[in-house]
Amino acid sequence: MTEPDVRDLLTELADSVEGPDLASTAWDRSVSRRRRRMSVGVGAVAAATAIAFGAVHLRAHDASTGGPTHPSPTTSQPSEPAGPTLDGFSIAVAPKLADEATLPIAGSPLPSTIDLSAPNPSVVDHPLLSAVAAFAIRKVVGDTTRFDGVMLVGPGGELRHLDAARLQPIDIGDGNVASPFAAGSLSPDGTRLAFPQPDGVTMFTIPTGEWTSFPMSVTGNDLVDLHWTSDGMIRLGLTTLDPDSGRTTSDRIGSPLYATDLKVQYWSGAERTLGDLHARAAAYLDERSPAPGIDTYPPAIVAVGDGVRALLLIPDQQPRWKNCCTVAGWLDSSQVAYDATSSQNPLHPDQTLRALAWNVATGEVRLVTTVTGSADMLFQGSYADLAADF
Amino acid sequence: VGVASDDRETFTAWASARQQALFRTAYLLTADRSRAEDLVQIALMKVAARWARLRDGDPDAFARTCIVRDNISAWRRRRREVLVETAPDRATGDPMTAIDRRLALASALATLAPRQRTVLVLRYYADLTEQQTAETLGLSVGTVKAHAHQALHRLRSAAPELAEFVDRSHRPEAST
Repeated sequence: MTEPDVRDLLTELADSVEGPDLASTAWDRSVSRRRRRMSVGVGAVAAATAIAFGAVHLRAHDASTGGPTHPSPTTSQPSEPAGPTLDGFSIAVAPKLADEATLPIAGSPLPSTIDLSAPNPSVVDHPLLSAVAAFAIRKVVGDTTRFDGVMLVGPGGELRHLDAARLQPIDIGDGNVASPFAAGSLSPDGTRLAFPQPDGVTMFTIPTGEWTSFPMSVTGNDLVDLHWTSDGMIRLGLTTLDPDSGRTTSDRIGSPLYATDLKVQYWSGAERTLGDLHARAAAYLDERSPAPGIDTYPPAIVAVGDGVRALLLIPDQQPRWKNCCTVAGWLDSSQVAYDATSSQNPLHPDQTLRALAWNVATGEVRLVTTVTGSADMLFQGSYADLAADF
Repeated sequence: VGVASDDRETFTAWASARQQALFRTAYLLTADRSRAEDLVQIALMKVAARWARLRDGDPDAFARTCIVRDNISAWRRRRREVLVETAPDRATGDPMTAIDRRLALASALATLAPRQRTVLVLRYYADLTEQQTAETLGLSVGTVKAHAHQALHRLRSAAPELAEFVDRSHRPEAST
């Protein structure tokens, strides 16, 4: 085997891989990093000390002191899983809201940026075979919002608009209404969208552009929530009527499919599975957080199964809005993607929604995609099986 | 603002053109896509921070040096990483497919010490001279020569089937 042979073999091996686009964001990341470094000042000593304990602890430390964060790419290095635990769950702390934009990129079927404000063709006129994500759009009109259809994201990042004027808003009890869309609306294979409706489920088949209705008789109750299971079934959530008071309350698909002894005030969004792995968002834990510097009863992402018992505690609950943060799905057997803001009002203060990926083994958190829209738009995401080969 | 905008554009154009080559070099060094992405991302950020000075120089060399040295630093932190001593067996008798070759090479590369692997990749994939390789690694030319010799020897012994493949592929085809 000569040196030219080795050259050929190395080239063949190297050519078999292709990296993500890192060039388009490198400049902004570098500028942001320099600005933050200039503002660190003497706090760098504390930050450097924190780095020695791993990225997870660095974030917790920053949150507790209110001091500047260090967005160094060293945060992309896996941290040691050792640290505080809660009921046998290992604990990691998610990045603060202000640090999300400079996280390392995670590989996923989603494009790194999605702009929902640009005009896009109708999916009926320009069909897609499937979608990797769907975003329900609400337009702010005065003091209220109006459901304005769905934007579909194709496997190549192409966007298509779905006019959903035929759908009615959902009564979620006590005089409140919501969009006929759920975090679990998009089927795992990305070919169908299921919408909760007062009289049943309405389905849109993406490749054919066909609408189908499944009427239901649910006297006294309204359908308010749904999500697809990994085996192609749809779980439904109904309102609950109290006949004594006449009040109805929303039942957002109740207890999780998996059994844990973790105390959770209530769950949020759909449970997402990959084989024996399960992940779901807890809108609030019902146990005191052992991590310093975040809310006492914080939102969290819970991952269990296949030897995994891990919690990701999420700081900055207030600006993320209530019911933060729903699970988007598993990217692979170690990374859970989640929307880092609430589905009810997923706009960050900087007018973006970011999906992040949490490595349940190392605690590392990466940036999956950044979704932007116009100033009068609110949006909610629903994702296909992100571990599938699109 | 105009200068900054121009810098951003020229940097992004350079990075777009070079990122795949840098990623592939990083992948050969690490055999791990995630680590390769991290290395390239950090290297690009470092180049961006120094773009005013590097744009008329050799940003490729700077980025490559960042990748190589950051990878070695990361390896030092991960001393517990276990080197594979022997390449897995492959069923004999069938011609090697491209996938077989890549697997065999990846296994053989895993038997190399980090510096041997780095020298091999820089010399024979990145096409650096011995002098350039030495500068990138901060070593003497003599040390680079020694690492290259040891790397080739170990590669040949770890994956003899690769030698069989290249012997076959270099054999002239019979004329008809």
